Amino acid sequence: MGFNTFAFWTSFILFFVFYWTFLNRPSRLRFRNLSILIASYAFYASWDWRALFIIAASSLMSFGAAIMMAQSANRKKQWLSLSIATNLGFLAAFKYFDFFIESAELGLSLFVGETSFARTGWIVPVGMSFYTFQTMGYSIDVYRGRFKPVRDPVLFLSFVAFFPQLIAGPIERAKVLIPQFQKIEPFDHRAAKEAILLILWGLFKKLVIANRLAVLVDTAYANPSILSAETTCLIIVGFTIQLYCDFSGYCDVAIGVARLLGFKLSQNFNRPLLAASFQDLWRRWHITIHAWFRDYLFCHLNRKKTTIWLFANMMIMFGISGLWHGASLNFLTWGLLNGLFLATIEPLVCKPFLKRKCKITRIASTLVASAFIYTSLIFFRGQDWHQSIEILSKLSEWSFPWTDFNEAKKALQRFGLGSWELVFTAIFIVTLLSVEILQETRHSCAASFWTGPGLGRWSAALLLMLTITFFGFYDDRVGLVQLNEAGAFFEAERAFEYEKF
Amino acid sequence: MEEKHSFKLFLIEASVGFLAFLIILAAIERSGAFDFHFREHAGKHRWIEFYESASKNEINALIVGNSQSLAAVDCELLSTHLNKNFFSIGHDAATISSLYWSVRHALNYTSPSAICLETKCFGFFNGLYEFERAIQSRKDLGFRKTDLSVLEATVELHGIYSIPFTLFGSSLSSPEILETDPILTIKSMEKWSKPIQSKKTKLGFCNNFTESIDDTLLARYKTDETGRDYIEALPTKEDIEYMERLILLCERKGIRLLFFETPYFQSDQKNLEDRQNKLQSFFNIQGHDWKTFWQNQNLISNPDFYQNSLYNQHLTVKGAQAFTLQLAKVLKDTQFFSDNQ
Repeated sequence: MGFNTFAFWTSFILFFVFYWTFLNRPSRLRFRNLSILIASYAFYASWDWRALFIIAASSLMSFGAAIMMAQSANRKKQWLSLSIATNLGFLAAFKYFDFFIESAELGLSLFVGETSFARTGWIVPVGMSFYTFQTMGYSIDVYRGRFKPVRDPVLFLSFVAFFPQLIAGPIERAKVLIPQFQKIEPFDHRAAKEAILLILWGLFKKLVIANRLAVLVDTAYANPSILSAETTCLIIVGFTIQLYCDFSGYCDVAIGVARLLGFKLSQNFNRPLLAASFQDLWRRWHITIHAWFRDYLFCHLNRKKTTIWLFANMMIMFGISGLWHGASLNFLTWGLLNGLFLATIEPLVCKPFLKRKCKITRIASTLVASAFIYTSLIFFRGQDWHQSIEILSKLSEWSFPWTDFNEAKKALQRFGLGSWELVFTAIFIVTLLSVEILQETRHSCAASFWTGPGLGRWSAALLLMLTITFFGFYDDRVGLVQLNEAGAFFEAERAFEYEKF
Repeated sequence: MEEKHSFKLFLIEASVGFLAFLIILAAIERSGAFDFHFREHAGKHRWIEFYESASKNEINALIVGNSQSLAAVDCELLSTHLNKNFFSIGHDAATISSLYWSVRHALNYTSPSAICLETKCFGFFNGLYEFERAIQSRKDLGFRKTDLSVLEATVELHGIYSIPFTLFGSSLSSPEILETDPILTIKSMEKWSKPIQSKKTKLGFCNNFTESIDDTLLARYKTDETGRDYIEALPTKEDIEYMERLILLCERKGIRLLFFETPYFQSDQKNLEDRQNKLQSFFNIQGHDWKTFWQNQNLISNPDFYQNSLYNQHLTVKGAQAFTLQLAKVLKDTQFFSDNQ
């Protein structure tokens, strides 16, 4: 039951009315948290009820370990280790075990010939990477004394399983989200109206842009042989926009849904398509996970300030970030490539450009960074290493077939969208970029989109609703994680790309 | 108290906003400014096409039957050969009772001179639908919701309890009911972009099967793993009752009626010979003409047919073309459309 289903919205509207009618009294704080917990677990169970045991076990372990850390100062480290080992253990068993086995087999095949070990064949429970990092962040914060452990199990379980951000983030810090579970805020009329617009904007990005581009991208990746260099470039850009709209659309809906319940979640995207450099991009793209890696991993690694150590730490952090997205050589390659870009092209090209502080050099820097980052996403999207290399090699096959408009049309129509659909795709992308540029330049139009007078907001909301209705692609796509022949542990339909992590 | 009012005010505002959206959506649907039926890959539904053809008085004869007959008769080809305009109506898992209502509804819009009824719906029983009677009613009847006969048919076929499901049920099988219901439009949005290939029609002919049955499926059929059992080939009491009502209806309207049966895939069915014999004697007793194409030599000797004839109990496009030519020949030979008939 994703955010793009009728079932979710029907259930949510009922819950929303119940929530603000019966639960918005300070005396009912525990009941409110319990209601959120039940709703969250029901939401999670709609994917697979068996995954509830894992999230509950992971949450209770972190909850208990945090209390023990506060009670026995001399055994703090052991409790932290136990909590992290349990959480990482779940993640390793479900997400990485088969990958490690495959890697070991590959390594051993170089020395002792072909070997074969048993695999679990389990599929990662949806959202596991997100809530595991959230609970680990909490445990580390308690260990470092930055946050007092929570004593109320219902509150803590609600914090981990809070349904708007459970499946695909944002990954929240305990200090941001837990205090919001400890008090009841009055209903904020203005915030609720902004939340509705944010939800519609998120659904527009997901259903109208991302799902439409998915047709092009999926066709191209399923049939690399039909690609030329020109179409490969288009597909590379198309996938970047698809991924951005897919994930940021989900986050917008998540933030909007939480806002309707009186919770404020962290911003996860800040117009990354307009990033001026590699560093700038990682400050704008999936902000919460990169902040997590920075605060809990990179700062810890970065003890020696020499260039080599910095480079090594950066590569470790990006390598782990790549593996967080998926257990495969492709994701690892993608992560390492981005670390490499940040360590080399950023100081050599982007920084000198940006020092000049003029618009042309800024645009040049944006283009350079985008070209490298977008291309690296071939490894992110590719099914395997060979397919990614095949698509990458297509960049050398320039055939210049588009001297004739009809030729160009024909070449593009092979990717599954008709002429009008291609025109609509272009219009919607231009609309998205225009809104983002207006927001980036802090134009007054952009501000009024969210907070302007009633008529403007109403018109914007109606326009978005009609656009989503008429031009949305609603097909339930099955995620990239498919059932394993050996016997899957979990089976799930995942409509959002990032739900698979 | 302030927050309560604030929440109530928000609910009112959101409801008004949603109502405004519904009104605009309904207006757009009614005006036809945006054709919901042509979204993405969804082709034209045969009932929509039927209403259009009927309004232009373009229908001379109807082919009526279940999905096998929809896939078997290429109406365009048949129309060219016989110089008459054919249109195929019917639906998946049809029963003679639901076909009676389909014909009765169709006759409100058109006056054909002949109806060819395919008889594979006789003796057909699908237990699944017994558990989904209410859902079945809207599947059976691709009627316009504004037409009262939809209610009559629903009550008769599935009981009074199925009315809400027909009126407010999902529009996935019958997208034309969207035309008056914006809520259903929203409700069914999740499914819109799924390719509904079987709804691509040409004069009601819907067949997208280009590849014939594969070896694995063939082997399964040969071991009798699947395959419809027609051991109870004779029409049931209910079938006969509805057949008589259909015959009466056609007589009253001066419409000629022909019964025929589309070809079978030999390994697919059990007790075929028995079924053919029983049906032949049934129609002989009833005094109606019945044409069967079982073991039709012209089809058996036609490579287009025997090499590439069937996909999962339905004829492929090539198979349908070969069969349609044979049907045209039979209709010509029997002078079905001549004034002497």
